[in-house]
Amino acid sequence: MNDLEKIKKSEPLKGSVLKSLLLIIPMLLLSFLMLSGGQIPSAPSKIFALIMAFIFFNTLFFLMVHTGKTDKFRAIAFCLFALCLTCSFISHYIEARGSMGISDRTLLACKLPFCHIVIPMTLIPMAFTRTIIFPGMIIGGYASIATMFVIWIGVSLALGRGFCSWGCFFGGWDDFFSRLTKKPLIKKISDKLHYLPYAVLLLIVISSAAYLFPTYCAWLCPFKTVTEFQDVTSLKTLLETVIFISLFAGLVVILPFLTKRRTQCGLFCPMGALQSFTNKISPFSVNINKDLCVNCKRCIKVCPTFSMDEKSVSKGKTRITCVKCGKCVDACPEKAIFFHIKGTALKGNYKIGRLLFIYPAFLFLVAFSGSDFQVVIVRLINFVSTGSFLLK
Amino acid sequence: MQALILGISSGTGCIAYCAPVLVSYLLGRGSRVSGNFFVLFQFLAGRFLGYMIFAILAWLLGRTLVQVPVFFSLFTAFIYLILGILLFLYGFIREQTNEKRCKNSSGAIPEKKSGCLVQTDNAVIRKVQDRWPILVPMLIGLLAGLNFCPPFLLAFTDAASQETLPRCLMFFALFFVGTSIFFLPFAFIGIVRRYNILSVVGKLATGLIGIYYFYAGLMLLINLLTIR
Repeated sequence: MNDLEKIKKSEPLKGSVLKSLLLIIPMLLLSFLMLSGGQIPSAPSKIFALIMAFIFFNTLFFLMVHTGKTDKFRAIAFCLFALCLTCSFISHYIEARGSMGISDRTLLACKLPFCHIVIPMTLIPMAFTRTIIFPGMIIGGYASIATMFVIWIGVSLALGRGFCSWGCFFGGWDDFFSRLTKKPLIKKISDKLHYLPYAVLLLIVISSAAYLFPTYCAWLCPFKTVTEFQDVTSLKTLLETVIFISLFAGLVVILPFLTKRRTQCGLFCPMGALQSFTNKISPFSVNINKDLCVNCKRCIKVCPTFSMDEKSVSKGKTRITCVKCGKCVDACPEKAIFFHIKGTALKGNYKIGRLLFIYPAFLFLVAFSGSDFQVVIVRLINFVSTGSFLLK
Repeated sequence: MQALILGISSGTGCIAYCAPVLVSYLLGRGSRVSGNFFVLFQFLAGRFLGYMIFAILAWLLGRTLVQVPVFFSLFTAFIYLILGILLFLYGFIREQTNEKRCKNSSGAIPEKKSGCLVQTDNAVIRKVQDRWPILVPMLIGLLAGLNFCPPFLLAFTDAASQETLPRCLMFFALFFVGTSIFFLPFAFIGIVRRYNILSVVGKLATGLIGIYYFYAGLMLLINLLTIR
């Protein structure tokens, strides 16, 4: 038995309950801080929501640490995040303006919440014209532009494209639909289409810079289906609505269901394409121990964003599009795939590398999604007591 | 001189409208800088032809009572539809490896010779490319140039007031020269040609923008039918 096999055999990822509990103590403290925002709420429903969110997230993290499985527990929180954000968003806008539709008046008021997917479109106009081509608030309000930029820069530096699996509040939708079937009904997708997100990125960046208008938001973003969209008042807006609903149905629901892959994230999202480049600066990566790998190709089959292929496996790493979801790490029967901290030895303690990755990643998920979870719990309580999901 | 200055001052606006098509196409070709200059000149030649057609139209406009808005919209709609189909075909036509042509002396297929590895499977496009290799970029230049961007409309209005056809042609020719200066740097996209992936991305982007142009043409037609 060589050294690597000894490491594999002697350091199983699964640990004792006490050890796991000790390991999650920092998360208990930090998650409480993130969820409470530094102060205990006074309303009973909000206290209940805080407790439920705290228990929920820390249970998941405990299970993640104790079982050594990353993707399964990450996905529970991630998919619920997408659902909670949608519920929270839609409820909020129905309360504020009576519908999900954005009127021209709302656009002119420049108070739309800034979504991270807009970021690629704003960069060139911002650099050359010092204009932010999005009708949102720079600071203050809900999801201000400055806040989102700071979050994006910080997370990109830390997690790289891990943002797409631990933070993107839309990714949970196609992640969810990709898990509904046991086996994929469509197994093969053309390799050329793996580059489609970069083509979409190129086009929207150039067109947004040319027209000083966020073209992806206006025409293509499928997630307007679950958040907000412009009122249908003309043939143009009707066509826009048909396009984004069709893209949602196709890329977020049907294709993930049929392929068991995150097709919106892997085959279309321009923000994902941009985020891929941040994998180069992130200190974390997913690597393959070629000595342990038996080339069963299970990782290639399970990767949700087509980030594994035979070429990358032979090189011992993932493609640049890796979203660090942990699915391949969990699926590998030989435990050959691992989270790695760049600059450290490849043949070290896999458990420490994994822990050092999932800590900031999960904490970010808690921080980003915590308030939406709590809001939905409060709304559910309101629904049970008053019959209405709306708070006003 | 007025036309030349108008062209130089509004050239960036022309780039804004043509860049999505041109950048995608040049990336998709994967040619060197020198090759890109050659393609660029073909593109500009097509654009020049388009401008000359419009010069004639502008001169006629000053002398006829044609319903201009309807005529322009109809003309633009058909141009967009044709351009959209052409770009879509270029972007998404199936490629296959031409092994026999590309194998080197040891029998291996060199990975980095992207131009060698790709051959269109579409019989029509292949015939066109083989027989008239300059036709495709020139056609794209012609169709992309026939674009009623704001600088172009300004030039059109000024040209329509010219007294004779030669003056009108000269006006548009100088306007064309002024705007074309800004297109020259695009040839340097060839610097990134060694990244084969960019060639694939460029082709896909070209196909996508073809969809947009097809949609734009369709919308113009629908609007026209709705008005009438």
